[in-house]
Amino acid sequence: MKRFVPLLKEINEKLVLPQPEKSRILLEIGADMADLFDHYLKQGKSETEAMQIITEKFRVCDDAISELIVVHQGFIQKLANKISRQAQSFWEKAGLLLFLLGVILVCGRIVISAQFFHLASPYITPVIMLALFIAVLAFIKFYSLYIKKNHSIKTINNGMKELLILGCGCLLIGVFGNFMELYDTFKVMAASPENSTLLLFEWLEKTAPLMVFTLSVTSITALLWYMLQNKINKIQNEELAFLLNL
Amino acid sequence: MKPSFEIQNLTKSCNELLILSTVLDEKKHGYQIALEIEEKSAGYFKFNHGTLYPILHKMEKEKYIKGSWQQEGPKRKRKYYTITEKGKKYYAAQNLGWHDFFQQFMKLCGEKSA
Repeated sequence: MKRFVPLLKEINEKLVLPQPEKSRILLEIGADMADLFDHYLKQGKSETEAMQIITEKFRVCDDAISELIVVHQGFIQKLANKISRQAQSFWEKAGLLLFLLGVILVCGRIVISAQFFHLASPYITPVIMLALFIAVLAFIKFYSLYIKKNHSIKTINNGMKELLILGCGCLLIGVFGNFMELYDTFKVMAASPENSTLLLFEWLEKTAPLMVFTLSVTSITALLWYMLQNKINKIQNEELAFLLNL
Repeated sequence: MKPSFEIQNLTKSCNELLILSTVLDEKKHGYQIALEIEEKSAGYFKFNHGTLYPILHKMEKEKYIKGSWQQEGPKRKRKYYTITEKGKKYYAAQNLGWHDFFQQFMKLCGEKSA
C-alpha cells in the first residue's frame, strides 16, 4: 500500500469532505489500487510498468473531485463534523467531561426526588421515554466503541444521527408541552380571572421541572454525541494515517 | 418516438449502463468494474478510475447500486458493488432507450453511409 501513498495524498488534499467520508473514499481507492497493481503483475508486467498504469488510471481530475464532493456532502454530516472539530485539546475535553458529570449529578438529584415527578406536567412522560432511548443508544454506542472496540467502517457512524434526532425531539416536546400548558392556563384564567396569580404559579410549578428535565436531557445528549463523535473521528483519522502512512 | 433518456445525457447514460451491466450478475469491486468494461470491449471503452468513483458513488446515492464493505484480513476492508432492484429496472429502461436510440440513429445515418 505504501507505494500508492503519494497518489492517495494528492486525492486526500483535494477532497474537501468530512474526514469519515474522505477516509472511506481513500480506503476504497487504496484497496482498488493494490488489487489492480497485483492484477498487472500477474499479467507479467514489471512493478514499474504496473505502477505507471496505476498512476495514469487513478489520476483524479478536478472535475471528478468536485463531483465526489457534491455526491458526499450531506447537510447533517457537514454540520456535525464542523461542531465536533471545535474542541480537540485535552483541557477542552476534560472540561467537557467535568461539565457532563456535573449536569448528570444535578439532574439525577432532581429526577430521583418524588416531588419532581409529582408536580411535573404530563408532557414529561414522552421526554422521559426519549431520555431512556437516548440512554440505551448511548450505552450501546459507548460499549461498541470503547469496550467491544468494534471499529468497522460500515457501522461506526450508526446511531449518531439518531442520537441527535432524539435529543432534538426531547427539546421540541419540552417546548411544545410548555406552551400547551400555558395555553391551557390562559383558558382557565379567562374563565376565572380572580385566580390568575394562583393559576400562573401552578403553571410555573408544572412546567419548570418539565423544562429543567428537557434541557438537561438535551444538553447531556449533545455532550454524549460530541464525545462519541470525537472518538469516531479519532478512529477514522488513525485509519487514514495508517493508510497514508502519516 | 421519444428516447427514455435525455440526448444531452448520452455519456452519463452510457457510463451508467456499462457499470450496471457489469454488476448485473455478481458483486464487484470498483477496479473490477473498470477492468471488465475495458477488457470485454477490447479497449473500446476505457474507464479512468478517477472518473469512475464519482459515477459509482452517485449511482450508489441514487440507489441503483449498493456498496457494501467487507473485512478481508485484519487490516483490510474492501468495498463491493451490487445492483439493486431499482438498478435492475433502471438498467432495463435504459437498455431499451439505447436500443431505440440506435434504431433511430441508424435509420438516419446508416442509410446515408451505405
